[in-house]
Amino acid sequence: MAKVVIGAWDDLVVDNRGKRFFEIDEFTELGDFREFDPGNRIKAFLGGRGFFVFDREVSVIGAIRDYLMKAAEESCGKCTPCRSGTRILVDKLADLCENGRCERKLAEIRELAEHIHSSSLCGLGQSATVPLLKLLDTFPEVICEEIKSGAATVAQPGQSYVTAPCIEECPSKVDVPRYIDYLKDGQFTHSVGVVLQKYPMAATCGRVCVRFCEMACRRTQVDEPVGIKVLKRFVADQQKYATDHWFGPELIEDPKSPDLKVAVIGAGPAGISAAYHLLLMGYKVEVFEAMTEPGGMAAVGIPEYRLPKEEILRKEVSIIEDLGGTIHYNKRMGRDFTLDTLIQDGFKSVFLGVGAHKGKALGVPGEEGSIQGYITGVKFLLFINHYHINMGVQMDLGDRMVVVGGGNVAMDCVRSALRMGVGEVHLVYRRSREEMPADHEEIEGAEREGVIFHFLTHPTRLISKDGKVTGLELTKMELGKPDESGRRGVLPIPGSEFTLETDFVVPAIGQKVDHSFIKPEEGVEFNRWGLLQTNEQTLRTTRRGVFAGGDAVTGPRTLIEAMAQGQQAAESIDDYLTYGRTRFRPERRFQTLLAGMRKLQSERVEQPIRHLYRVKVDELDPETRKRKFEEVEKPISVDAAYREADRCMRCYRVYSVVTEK
Amino acid sequence: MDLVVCVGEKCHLNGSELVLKSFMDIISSEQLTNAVKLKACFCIGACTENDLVNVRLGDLTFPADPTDPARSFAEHVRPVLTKTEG
Repeated sequence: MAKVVIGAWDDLVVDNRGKRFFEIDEFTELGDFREFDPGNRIKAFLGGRGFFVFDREVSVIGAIRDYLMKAAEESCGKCTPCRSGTRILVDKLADLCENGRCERKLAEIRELAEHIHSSSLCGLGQSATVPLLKLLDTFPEVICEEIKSGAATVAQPGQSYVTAPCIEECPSKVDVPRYIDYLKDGQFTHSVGVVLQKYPMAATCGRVCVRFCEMACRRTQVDEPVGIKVLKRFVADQQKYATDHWFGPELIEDPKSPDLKVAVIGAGPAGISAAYHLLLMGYKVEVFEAMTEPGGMAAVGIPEYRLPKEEILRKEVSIIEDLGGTIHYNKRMGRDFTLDTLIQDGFKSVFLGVGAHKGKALGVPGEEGSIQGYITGVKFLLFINHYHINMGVQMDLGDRMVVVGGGNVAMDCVRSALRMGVGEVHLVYRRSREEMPADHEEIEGAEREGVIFHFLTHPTRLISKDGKVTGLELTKMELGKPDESGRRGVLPIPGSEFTLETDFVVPAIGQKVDHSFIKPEEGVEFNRWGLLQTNEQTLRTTRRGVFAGGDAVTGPRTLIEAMAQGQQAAESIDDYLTYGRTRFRPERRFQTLLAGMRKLQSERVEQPIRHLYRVKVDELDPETRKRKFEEVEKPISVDAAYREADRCMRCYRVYSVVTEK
Repeated sequence: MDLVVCVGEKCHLNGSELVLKSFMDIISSEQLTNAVKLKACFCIGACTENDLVNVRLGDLTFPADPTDPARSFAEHVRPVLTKTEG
């Protein structure tokens, strides 16, 4: 929230100059824009679509001159309008601010700005002159007033931040346009290097990421989003950074004292990412993993046909050891060691990345006690991925299996069951197909492979005989009225019960954190959802020196969110161990500012662009693949990668704030 | 004969994989692949509050110690095998 004096953003114009400060209404669409950091008011905000001024003392034209200076610094230099145009424009604005003669110079300035806007090749140049053009369109008299009063020559403190919609949407803030740029130039090493700045698991992410970036991709408004994930997989597969040991202790620039030891609990995505960043910061890191293999939920929860473990995941985790970290396997917290013994062993800080590995039960009559053939989705995937594929253990799974749930875990269960040779695989979901939370590719894949779907159906009783599952009683559901959020509830249809005979029932309806790793007296608290209680900004738990991240904090989420939290916690641990206080990070503040102004975020594509549809990824034929765990998606060719990379519109945007100090 | 190791919720936490790994090694090094077939299952229905892993061999169910699976194999599996051989 903030009070806007003047502002112009897309088609919106705000003019409160005639009002006294207390008469101005709070502008709620912006989110919290009062302070940049504690005690430092935001006086103006500029972005690629306009500007807002919150303080009458600000010189808008001076702020725009500084903003353009930042854009000129960021220009990649590949096109003249952006490379030279922005510099000339900055000089002209500086001359205007110094020497005046507003009326004569403004027409020329406008012409140049319009040229840069319309003829730059990418989003940076196209958007850089927008605040200036908006000001010229809406409040041209302000410019002349500021120059006459001399306000335009006063230096104004502030901060700038360069980003793009895909970067902002990515939890790890991977610089997507940059790695695509390097790919276009044939610089694959540099390209994968951009990703590796954020996390070590580039090839893993290029296979299983849920792609928040592609959902934000502005190319969608022209034809289809850029295949960002497929390009990441392409460069990661091209470059053998893990097998060729690109990472070594020589990369650590600032080694810290060896007694600054950090324990990371869990070698999953969050733990590995935290360990990676801590090692690169120079800390000594030891990772404790309960299983005999690394990867956490990525290893035991993601099927082999989507992510090959041996060639991809385990190689990427080995980067931790290349950097000098240690991974102790088969060490379970609460059984083999505790938080207190870690502290006694000299660890100065602990990161808890224990995940959410406990499956939720159906909550129906008949499931009490131990019943053969009734197992949660996560445990079923754990068996297949860990015991079966990894260790070669066999199991009799029967002829018919029923999986309950509509998310990605449910999809992984049904598709894996087919590959295990189960003859008939059923999926039961209480709502309709459109409401399934699983990825569309996954649902379609399961359909093509022959899974039998039962929509608007809900389990009501588990049927067993002599301690073995024999069937599942189901009830048909109907859609009710939409609730406040617009989602329609479901109601059972009385008398519609029927029984599906089956040997195996697998509920895949969610996971929770297994609390057995810690005792209440150890001082780490859980919230009312059973997740680890942490500070949102620092990921600090309720015990000093102990931090947490990943599914144990967020509940079951995605690989990329867990890796982002691992990095965030590593920064906090660095602050805690070396600086003794939480340092202010301007880029993080910009990220929260931008996330808070969602209402103003939908953006139009103004430049005409030729339609060019995204690359199609070849897949194994459904008949062959449904009995095998071989990777379904095939790699794309070099030509296809170049063509796909060319589709990126480089939607870079400069954002800046004018602040009090 | 099937030698079935439980990998259900509790047994997995107690160390099913250590038991499976050790049994696998014994079976292959002593060439017992014709005599026993090693398998896994979800819950044998013999859950207790101990730190052991449940194993079933034919009609016999016994708990194996994950810290020393070889001893459990010697105690419970070998006598049955010798009997069937003899």
